[in-house]
Amino acid sequence: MVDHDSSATLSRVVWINDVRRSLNAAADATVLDSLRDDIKLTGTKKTCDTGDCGACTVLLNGRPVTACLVLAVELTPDDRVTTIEGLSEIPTFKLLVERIVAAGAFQCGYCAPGFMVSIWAHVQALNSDRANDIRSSLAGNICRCTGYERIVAAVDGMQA
Amino acid sequence: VSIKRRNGSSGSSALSPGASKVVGQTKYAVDIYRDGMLFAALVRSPHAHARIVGVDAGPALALDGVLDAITADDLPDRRYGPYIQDQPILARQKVRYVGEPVAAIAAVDEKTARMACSLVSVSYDKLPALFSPLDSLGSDAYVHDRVEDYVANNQNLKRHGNVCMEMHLARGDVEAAFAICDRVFEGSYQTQAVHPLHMEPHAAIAEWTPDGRLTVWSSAQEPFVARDMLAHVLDVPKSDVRVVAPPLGGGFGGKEAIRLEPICSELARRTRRPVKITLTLEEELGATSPRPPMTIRIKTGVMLDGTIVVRDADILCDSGAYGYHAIGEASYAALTVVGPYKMQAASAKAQCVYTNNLSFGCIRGYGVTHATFASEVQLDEIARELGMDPLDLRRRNAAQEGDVEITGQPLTSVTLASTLEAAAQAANWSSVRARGRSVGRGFGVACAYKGIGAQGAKARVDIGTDGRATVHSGTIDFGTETQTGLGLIAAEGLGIPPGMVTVSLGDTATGLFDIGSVGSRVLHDAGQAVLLAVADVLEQIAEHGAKLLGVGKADVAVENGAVTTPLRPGVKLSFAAVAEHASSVQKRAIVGTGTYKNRNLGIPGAGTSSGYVLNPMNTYAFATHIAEVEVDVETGKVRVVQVVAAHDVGRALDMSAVKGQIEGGVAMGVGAALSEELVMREGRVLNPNMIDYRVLTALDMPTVTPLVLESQDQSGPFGAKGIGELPYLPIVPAIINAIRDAVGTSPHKIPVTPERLLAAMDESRQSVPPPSTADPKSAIGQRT
Repeated sequence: MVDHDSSATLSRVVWINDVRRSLNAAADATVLDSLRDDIKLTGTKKTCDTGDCGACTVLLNGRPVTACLVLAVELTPDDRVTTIEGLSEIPTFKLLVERIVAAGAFQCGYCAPGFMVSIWAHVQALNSDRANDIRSSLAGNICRCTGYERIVAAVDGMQA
Repeated sequence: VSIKRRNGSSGSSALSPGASKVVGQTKYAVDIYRDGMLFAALVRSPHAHARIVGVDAGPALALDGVLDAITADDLPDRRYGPYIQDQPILARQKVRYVGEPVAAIAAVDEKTARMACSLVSVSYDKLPALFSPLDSLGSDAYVHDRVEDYVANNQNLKRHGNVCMEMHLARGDVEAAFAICDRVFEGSYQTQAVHPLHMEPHAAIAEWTPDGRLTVWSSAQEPFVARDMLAHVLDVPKSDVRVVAPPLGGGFGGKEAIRLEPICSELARRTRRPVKITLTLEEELGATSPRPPMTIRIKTGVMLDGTIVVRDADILCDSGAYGYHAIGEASYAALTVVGPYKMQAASAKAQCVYTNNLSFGCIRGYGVTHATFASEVQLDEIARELGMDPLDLRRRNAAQEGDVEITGQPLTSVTLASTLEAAAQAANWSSVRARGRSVGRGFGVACAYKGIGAQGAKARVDIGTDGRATVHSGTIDFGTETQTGLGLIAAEGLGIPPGMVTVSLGDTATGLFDIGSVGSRVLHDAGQAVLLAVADVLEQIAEHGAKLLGVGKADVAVENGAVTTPLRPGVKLSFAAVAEHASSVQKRAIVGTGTYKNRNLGIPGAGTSSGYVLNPMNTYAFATHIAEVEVDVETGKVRVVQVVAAHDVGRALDMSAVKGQIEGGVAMGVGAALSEELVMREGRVLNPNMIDYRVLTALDMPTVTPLVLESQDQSGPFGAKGIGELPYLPIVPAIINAIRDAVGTSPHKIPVTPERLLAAMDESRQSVPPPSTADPKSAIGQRT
């Protein structure tokens, strides 16, 4: 059973969007819950909490991960977590956002931040000549509204 | 008036919330955190049917961080429901389904609240449970002691025993019509529990002011309905309750009425702290309200040339533990089971029956999903038996302008035939059929219609002293570009650029009563209400403008966002100047209201009805889908290769948004046809997770070709109908019909999983092929 008095003091200080932030590192605290509940970075969404839907996708040291499957206690001080809020500061990411918005790619938008992180990782991989297919890159992100067509079309064939 | 259509993409207009969603700035209900907020979680029943003997929350309350616990005894003894008020907020005396909430805990954080729930000890006396509607019909044991004692919201609602809704619609002499038919076909078709699976779970946050007024932020598709139900079950005045629906992360029918709002409201009142509840995915899939499973028996009489003469249908709907929206789904299935076809006579009965399964609800299409599947699959079987092209069979029988539906209501702006032709052309239907296909590859066609607008609507439009317009509507934003649609309608009506319009949705404090974002009704109903409010605004602007100009009201014109008069050429007053004059000199605000009333056609004399609880529809939209599938005959796995989806939408106000709805509806439909099913054993959902409840990923999507056909509908604003639900309807039978085309058979039960398909293929191989006979009248199909 969690001891609530001490869990509040258990923490991991890591880079979050290029700023040193403290995450709750109780034994069962996920990066997702800490981002949302403690740091109030609510752009990262929670749906399944089992790594199946991709709504909570963030970058961990540049690679997309589902934040619901990463415990804060696993992180080291050098680890860098980048959320949708962090990506949104990058000028080339803003161009990607414009492209996606112009395509009317999303509807309810709840899954969109997770998709955008995966799309960003996909585009970065294109630049590094690692072969990847957009549909495969997005296969871990579930969208219930759109049928993916406009998302794929907006990204397909683009270079960052 | 002709509206300027947007061919450009949705999400990019000033009216659209698209950009803030994409970068994670939009606050959905789950994203709301209030100062000092507590988190609540629910203690749920492990039993399908049991008497609650006692609840001991002592050990839970002793846990550090736990502040409060409530049961039904802490709430007024009041029930709610959209059709019948049979459902308590927390189970009272009895639990009727696995997962029914029994108690709620408020704690400092969500984990503590959930842990505390596991410490609440509830003692139960287990009762025998009913898990199939057929068993319920034959049982002397009742899920509810006396269904007649519950308050029905419509006096027509017929109920008895375990039956919470029983209805019959009929038109023409059904018996006589069957007697003249060459052939009569009969089949029984089964649908499954499909979950809306909106990506954002249900969430609600309640907060009271010290003077006893309640605000609830909720993921509610119907904020005003939620407010009224919430006030009712809490026994507080409506005017003390404000429900705010922030943008929803999807709904699809899953977020209607109320669910969590009363629980967090009561905990917030007791603890004097804001209280939030969010459901887990396991709770969503395992204990909320998917669409109800139905068994639909259809008997159809036809002539040898393929003319449909008569149809008779019986629908048995598993309501689950409460009536909830299963009643509406079953009623609507009965209304539409005849399909968009002309025929001499028709009869449709439906029964909605209590069991101890989940409390079933509704999904996109509201019952028409089931009816369309059954009806369109049977039509294909008929075509096959008659040796006809299934598309020709539909061409021959397609409803025309003025044909009547089963209630006797005339259908208007009927465009089914044009969707058939457009889909056939785009899919190269005739050459594909002439070419013949290898085993394992098939094409299927299906049609559908969906009623639009049944409840009327209200809306308000304000003109600020800066000349900007604000539209207030009690509908919500869940990705259907409602801001764009209503904003464009207001801008066009007012004669100002869309950039001068703000659309405010989902707040009972500022909007006027509206039943919410359901039933493809928003653009049509709320759009008409906005136009009426705009007319009211224009009247007021003319009046105040005339005073400012010092002329009579009859002498002014309001055009292109300005007031002019021939008496003072060259003088042009802006809306800002008029609003400023009205405010500072006349001491009046420019506030226009609009009330759009349903055309209320009633049940005309041509039809008879008993127990029917739905309103007549204002207009109908039509669609034809053609699907191509590949079936692996070894494994039974089906892949949908491509889909052509032809839709009549009246006037498309936002072409990109319309196509997006079509693509999304097709995606959900492929899931409903092939993979999505909540599997229940003795009332317990066995697959409450996204691995075992499988929805489509980007890799599974077929190529979709949306064809948008426009017509001028007389009913909707600027001729617009609605597009939200219809794309989900024809896709399912189109896929099933394509499977039959590919392998010669298809199960009558969806989803068509590989196991079901292989079993059906085995069965069809073992059965004797139908005898070919010189007299087709004596062939397959019962002759009555």
